[in-house]
Amino acid sequence: MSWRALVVVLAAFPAVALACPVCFDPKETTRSAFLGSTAFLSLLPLLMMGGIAWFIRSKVRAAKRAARLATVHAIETTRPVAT
Amino acid sequence: MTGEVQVLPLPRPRKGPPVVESEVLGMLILVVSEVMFFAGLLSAYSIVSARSPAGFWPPPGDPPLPVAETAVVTLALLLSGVVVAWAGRADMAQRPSIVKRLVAALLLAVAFVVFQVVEFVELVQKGLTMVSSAHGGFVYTIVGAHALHAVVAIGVLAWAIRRLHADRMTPALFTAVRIFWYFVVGLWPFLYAVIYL
Repeated sequence: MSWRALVVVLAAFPAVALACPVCFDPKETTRSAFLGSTAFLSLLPLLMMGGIAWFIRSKVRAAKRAARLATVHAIETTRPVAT
Repeated sequence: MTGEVQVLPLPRPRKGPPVVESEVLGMLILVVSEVMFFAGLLSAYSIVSARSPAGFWPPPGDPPLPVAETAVVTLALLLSGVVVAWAGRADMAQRPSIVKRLVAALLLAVAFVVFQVVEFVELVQKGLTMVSSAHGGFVYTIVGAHALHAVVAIGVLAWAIRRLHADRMTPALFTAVRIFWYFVVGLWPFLYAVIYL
């Protein structure tokens, strides 16, 4: 079985991949809390790192835009004036 | 005629200002790790509260938390965040004005921390301790951890005020200080909603 097929099987049957021996409880509310906290703790770092990456990207783009404007300004101000 | 080739040095690329200052990036990384610390605590809290029988969380014997009074100081803390943001929008040249705003934010945060200390003392007197129940343990751990961060933020803000007063504050450092303040202020409503409501 290739690793892709394994991923598909695990995605289709998440209970097979449940490896934590204590993360199970017959109570529905507890199971929901386990699932909710797992999703929360898995997605939160991704969201935060994504936010920082977006912040840096926007800063880089702003810096590039400013550099481009400065270059255009420098070319325009050093252009010889026709007399 | 011998052709001499004159080698002209290439202009060295000018090193511009960094896209993101080290102070800001370092503070963002610190805040991310702190958020994960509190997320872990809140996850543990949500699981333990979900495991308790219906109607037994908080445990019936535990004294009720001061929801209304804490809501008032929550507003004070949020207001301090607004005031710090207001200070951040000012031009760095207007130092006296920025210092006044930061002092106002500092006093609001001090009021918040003082209230929390008083609240803790009252809760202990009523019988809620770290070992009285899992609920008590979580309340003191999570709210206490946030109060500790608020104390650190107050210290950092006081340090920033001193530097501003002495005209030794850089815009990047000021941004880093504000990011930590926003973290402490922005985290509290979530903690309040989970623990108190």
